[in-house]
Amino acid sequence: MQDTERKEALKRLKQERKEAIKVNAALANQQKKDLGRIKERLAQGPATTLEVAQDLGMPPKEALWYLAAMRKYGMVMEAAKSGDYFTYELVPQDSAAC
Amino acid sequence: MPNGDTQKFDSLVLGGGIAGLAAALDLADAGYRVAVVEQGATIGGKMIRLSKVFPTLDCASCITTSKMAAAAHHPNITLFTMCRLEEAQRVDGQVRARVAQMPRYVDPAKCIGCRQCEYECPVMVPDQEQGGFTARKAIYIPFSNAIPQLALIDREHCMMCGKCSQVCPTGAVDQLQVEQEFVIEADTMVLATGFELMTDFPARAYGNPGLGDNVISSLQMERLLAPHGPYMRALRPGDGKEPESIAFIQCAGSRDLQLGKPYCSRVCCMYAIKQAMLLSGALPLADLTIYYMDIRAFGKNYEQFYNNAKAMGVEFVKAKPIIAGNNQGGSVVLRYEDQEGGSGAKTREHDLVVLSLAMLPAFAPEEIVPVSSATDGFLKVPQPKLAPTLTDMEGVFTCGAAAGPKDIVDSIAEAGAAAMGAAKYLAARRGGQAA
Repeated sequence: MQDTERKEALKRLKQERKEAIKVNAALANQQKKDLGRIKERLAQGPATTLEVAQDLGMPPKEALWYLAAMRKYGMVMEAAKSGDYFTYELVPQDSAAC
Repeated sequence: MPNGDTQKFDSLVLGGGIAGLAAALDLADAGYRVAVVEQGATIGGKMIRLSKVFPTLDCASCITTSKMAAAAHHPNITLFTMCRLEEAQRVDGQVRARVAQMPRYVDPAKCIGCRQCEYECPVMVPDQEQGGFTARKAIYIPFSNAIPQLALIDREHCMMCGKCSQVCPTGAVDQLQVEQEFVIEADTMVLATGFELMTDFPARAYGNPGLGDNVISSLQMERLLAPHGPYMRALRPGDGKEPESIAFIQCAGSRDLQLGKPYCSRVCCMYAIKQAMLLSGALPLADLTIYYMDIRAFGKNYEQFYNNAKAMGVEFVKAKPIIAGNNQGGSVVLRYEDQEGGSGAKTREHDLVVLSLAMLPAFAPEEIVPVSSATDGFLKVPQPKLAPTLTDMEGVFTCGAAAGPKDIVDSIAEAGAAAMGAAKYLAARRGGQAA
């Protein structure tokens, strides 16, 4: 397929998937905001899932889901334990993967 | 692969889990050319997703990865991942299978598995490979030892922003891929389609309010125990607390006439004991309780394994609890009648509850392959004593959990029997000549 044909086909596909793209873009936008808020909170110092959840007004389950994802993608790491909970801290920026 | 292309093999193995891979390797080692057709993006089945195996506590990933790699590199085996069997019929003495190659939206010939696309993708999606406890991206490689190491796009969640294309060093992203159909012709077929855990778990079986954040399935617990699990340690998913009290509810769905699952799932007693033993190592101070109907420890060294768990302090309570609710701290309240301890109904709280859910067949052959299912939905084997791998379609065999709940040991033994059956059938068709 020629480049111009590919571009046209991609354009048509985007048009067909317009609604799904809108929903996913909104989801990605919200996730970006949430990640930013969690990073800001952790920039102040290590925090447990409950502390992150409480400070950001987020269900603890969701805060943990984000923290686990951030850990997977190299943004946060586990730090000291506080009671029954582990704290999480930011990975220094020069070694973070994304 | 071009649409409508036909490829010829000696045997087609449907399912790339441990049973399918073991059968394929046995046949390939005997000199037969084998096609392994797997619906998922990677081979390895349920076993590659487990933490350790009972009763030896060997690392499941270590055992499975070697089988996966052996199959991937075997000159007589061709792997077809993300392929769905549309129909298989015996035509002119051959199994003729129509197979749909589902699109990855990534060119497998170009992808080098570097995951740069995954890191760049802005959309996060619950990662079912990790029990949903963490995220993956809309473009992703299923897990670090997946075979093949190829990315795929989850079209449902992709917002087509093009970031993956921009960072891909080989230009592998191809949003214009479409489903392609091709044909596999083989003399024999082995159905190794495995199982799924029950998901539509009705609240009536375990009371209201039903399942909460800290009630998980046994396969989710496997991920919590795996070294590369979502939290890399056993935490409860509701809030990240290190649980001090963990309960297992056995026969959650199995042996339940109300749920239409009268059969025993055969592996739950042993994996619950295994998980409790692993937890007692990871969380030495935690209380571990297994609520059971009766313990079925029938395999080699299984009874000893059970006794070891009791000696390690795992508590066994003969009861069928209901989930009565959650307290404010997130603990799960169970209500039960201790059939051995007496003194009526009791209430107890646990930080985390694991349901040992019923195993269900993962494949319904109706309108796809002319083999029969038994009343429990698993594949029917007309001669369960003398030929437990033989189906009612000529030259078609089965192994593993496709024909009923089975542990790994039995699945692999049965895979060997299915491969032997298929090899004998092939030799007989060729006038007694082996491969």
